[in-house]
Amino acid sequence: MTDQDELHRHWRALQRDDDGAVEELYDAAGPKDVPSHVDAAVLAKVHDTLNWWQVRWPVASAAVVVLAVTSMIPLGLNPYDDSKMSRFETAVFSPEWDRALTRQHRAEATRLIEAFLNTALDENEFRKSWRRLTHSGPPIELDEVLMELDLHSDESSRVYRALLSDKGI
Amino acid sequence: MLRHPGESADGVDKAAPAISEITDDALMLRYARGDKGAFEALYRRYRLPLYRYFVHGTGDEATAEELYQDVWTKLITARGHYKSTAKFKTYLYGVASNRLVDYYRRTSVRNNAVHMVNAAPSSPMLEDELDGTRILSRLSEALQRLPLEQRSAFVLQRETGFSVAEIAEICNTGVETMKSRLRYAVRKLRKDLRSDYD
Repeated sequence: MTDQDELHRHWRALQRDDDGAVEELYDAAGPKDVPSHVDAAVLAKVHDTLNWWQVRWPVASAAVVVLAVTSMIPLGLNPYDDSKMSRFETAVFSPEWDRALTRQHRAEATRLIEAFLNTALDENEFRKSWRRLTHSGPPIELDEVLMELDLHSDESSRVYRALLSDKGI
Repeated sequence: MLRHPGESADGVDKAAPAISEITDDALMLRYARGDKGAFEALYRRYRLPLYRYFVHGTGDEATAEELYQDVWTKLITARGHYKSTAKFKTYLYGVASNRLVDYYRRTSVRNNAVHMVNAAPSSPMLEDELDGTRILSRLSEALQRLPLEQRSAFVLQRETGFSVAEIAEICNTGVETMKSRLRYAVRKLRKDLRSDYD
């Protein structure tokens, strides 16, 4: 039975008011296939989208890996010596190491103050050494170091005077 | 001709049993991970009923092609966000239904179409004048005369085999309302298409 015959049969059934005739006429009518140019347009779209993803995603992934690896290299070195990594980066990537460096730095600051107070270390030399120390690592809270040392007020004043004369404190 | 995924050039469909056993949702998730074959399998399952949905829904093949491609494009674009919280088929026809309603809202062609059809009714079709092309034309006109909600519901039911509850969910309405829409749609179509003989 051809499509035409099928349509005629359902049409006549509809005119007789048979049950389900409307639905059967509907099912027999309409397109029997999707036009090939429509299929082609949809499939081209999906191919283009996947090609974009498949080509660019590995490239993007590789770029991310390279960036991550290169940014991790300085972690093997002292970031404060080569200035390759900021304090923020160190704190983020290696917080334990950052805390250890801070403790070590404060210990050096303590030794430097003690050397200034207890030896013949020149005030200028003390200032220069302090400046080098504070510029080469985590910031040092002078007040906290002085409190830890539990210095006499005269000694604290001497340290302040020496360092305050240097604008870099 | 769209070849089935896994189908070889000689027409032997070696992977067909495996593909046919994979659910729509699983295929969609595979496609979201970049499996082009999964998309083609899904496309093959739904291309014709979805196309018929738009042809019957709009009564115009050019518009149907446009809306049909829009729906697949949306699916392609949103594949990364697809979650199998609902059946894929419900998701697909939900997108299609929204697109059809949106089209009529934007263009206001529903009122124009009704006006045009009412203004130029087809001439009575006698038994000896029966012609397939005219039957199709009469059916298309009758469908376009239905209110959009009734037409969309009726076409969805015929093309998808969805239950009334599923159609109600897609159209965001109650089950009883949907039952009424479907009943009215069939009644109006029958009356309209038999009017030459009443």
